[in-house]
Amino acid sequence: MTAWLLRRFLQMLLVIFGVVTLAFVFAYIVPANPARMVAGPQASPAAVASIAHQLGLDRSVWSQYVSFLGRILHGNLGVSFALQGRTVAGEIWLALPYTAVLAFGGILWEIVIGIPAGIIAAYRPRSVVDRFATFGALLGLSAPPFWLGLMLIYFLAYKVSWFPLNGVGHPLIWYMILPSFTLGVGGAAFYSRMVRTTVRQVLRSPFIEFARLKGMPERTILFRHVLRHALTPVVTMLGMDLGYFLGGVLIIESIFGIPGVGQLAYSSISTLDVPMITGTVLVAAVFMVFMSFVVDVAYTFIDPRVRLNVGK
Amino acid sequence: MPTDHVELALLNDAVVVVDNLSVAFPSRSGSGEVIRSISFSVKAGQRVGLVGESGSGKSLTARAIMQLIPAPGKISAGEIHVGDDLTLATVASAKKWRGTSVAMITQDPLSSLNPLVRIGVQICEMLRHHRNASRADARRRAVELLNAVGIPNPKRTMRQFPSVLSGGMRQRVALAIAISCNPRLLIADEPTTALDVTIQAQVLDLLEKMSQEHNSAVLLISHDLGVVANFCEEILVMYSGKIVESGPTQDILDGPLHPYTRALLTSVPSMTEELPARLSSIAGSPPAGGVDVVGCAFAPRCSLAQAICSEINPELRQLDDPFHDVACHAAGDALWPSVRSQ
Repeated sequence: MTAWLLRRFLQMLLVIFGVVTLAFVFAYIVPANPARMVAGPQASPAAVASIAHQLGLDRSVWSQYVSFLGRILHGNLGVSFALQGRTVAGEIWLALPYTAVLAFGGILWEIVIGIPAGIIAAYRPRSVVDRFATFGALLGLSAPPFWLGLMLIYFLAYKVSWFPLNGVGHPLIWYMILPSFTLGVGGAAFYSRMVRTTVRQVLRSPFIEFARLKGMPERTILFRHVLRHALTPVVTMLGMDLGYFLGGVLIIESIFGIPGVGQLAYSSISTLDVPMITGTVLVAAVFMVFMSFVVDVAYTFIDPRVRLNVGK
Repeated sequence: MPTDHVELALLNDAVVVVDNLSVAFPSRSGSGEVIRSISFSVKAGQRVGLVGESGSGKSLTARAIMQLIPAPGKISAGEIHVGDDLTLATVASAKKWRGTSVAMITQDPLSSLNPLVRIGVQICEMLRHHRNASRADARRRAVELLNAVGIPNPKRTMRQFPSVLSGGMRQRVALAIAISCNPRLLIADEPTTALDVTIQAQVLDLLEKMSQEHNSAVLLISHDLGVVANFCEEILVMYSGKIVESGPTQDILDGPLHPYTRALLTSVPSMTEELPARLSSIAGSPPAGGVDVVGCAFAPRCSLAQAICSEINPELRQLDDPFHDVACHAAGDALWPSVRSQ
């Protein structure tokens, strides 16, 4: 088990190393000249060349790669080209709390709506609740987030001022309710369908019949015997969702004017701010890889059969 | 009259009385009856076998007793009474007796235990819920139970998950769970079908031992006449949702009255005589479940069928032995060949 954990951890580091390398390659092969971007369109060739030298762009690929790796290892993601004098790490650090609250909020909506809806629908197939949940899921899955976000702003923030229109402020939670809901609705719809399917499947299994034959109350059967099975796939998906959201959710962030990682990445692309692009891509990738590691570990806690297999 | 039956059964020390039970899966094409008006009772400590081929309604009878018929099936007629006080079994009353005075184990031990829940928890939850036992008491009793069913290292097994145990061991655990609240009636639905023959014998021995120690009656459901013959004092033979013959095991083995029972017995390969080139089987197949049958359901496969057999449904009746019932028009006739002379 410990050996497996260690191996899985090293695997994660290896993937991150690969991502770092890819990020470097992409930054290197960008067709535009970063030195020109920094120097500005009016700068003389000499000035551009001098800036290129400052940035180390005139050195060999390998030498650039090695110093890039060295910087990353020290947590130094470089200095932004577009925002003079600001470090990439610093900017990401400023944007991350907003994205994090948004991401966790989105996950929370997914859990709070998706799981109960799926369970109720599974226990009462073809009931009013089931049909309502099916319809709701269809709506939630097919409503584009930008449309849903705008509708929510129009009705709940503009028509009746229950929520702030956009931006961030105090308390942050207040500003994050609509955005996180918009973010979570698609996932909630998806999870309700997934939970419905798995719960229905588990309810048909012989060990549930045996639990009923034992005379166990329905509540115990649900919480002890059904949910564990139904939640295994959900945990996997939720972990991946969280990793994905933490990398920034551009559409939601821009509709609601949230200065998160997504916006940062987007503006860095439009200004061809290469260190910032590399930095945001790296952060997103690391979250994704790290969450998949967390999911794998969590899996071994939920399902003893996985634990047995990894022990071998 | 149901009440008369119950009073009589109480005098006879019965722990389950099934009275004119019919179970139906309603469909547009017919009544969908798959169990057709069966009656029987099991006395305290008695071991009764319910035999029949797959689809004959054996397992469904067990689930009807437990009030757990899979939807859309339902009890369409008749009553079931369970326990020492012969409470009327309903979905509501089941809360009081299911798992306690009436327990049941199922066919597939590999899937009847929850793979994600520790074995200890799966036993303790019975005692915690039904007996209000404290955590410590439940654990102590669970270890005793595992010990009693022959699990080698009970304390360790408590912490384990079902997947590390073999099929035989899992059926032992299931049995430990079923007897944890000292049931008056234990229904065992094909408890050994999924196990290999040596393990089968061990589990049956254990079942017998447990039923004797706790004075629990056992209703053993099996398609295997051999298993039932060794284990049970009485046999009920089911065919197409009806009980076609019932009586003490020895009487049925020595002098089967129903042509179906006779055919079943002759299709059991002998262990002492030389085997024929081809094992005998019963030609044809039983009517599809839920189809309304006029007359005797076995008539199309029966070599003794007469005109009356396809017109009138034979009722269970006695010939000369008061404990041996048969539902067959031909039984006892002049045409009826004596089995003993064969």
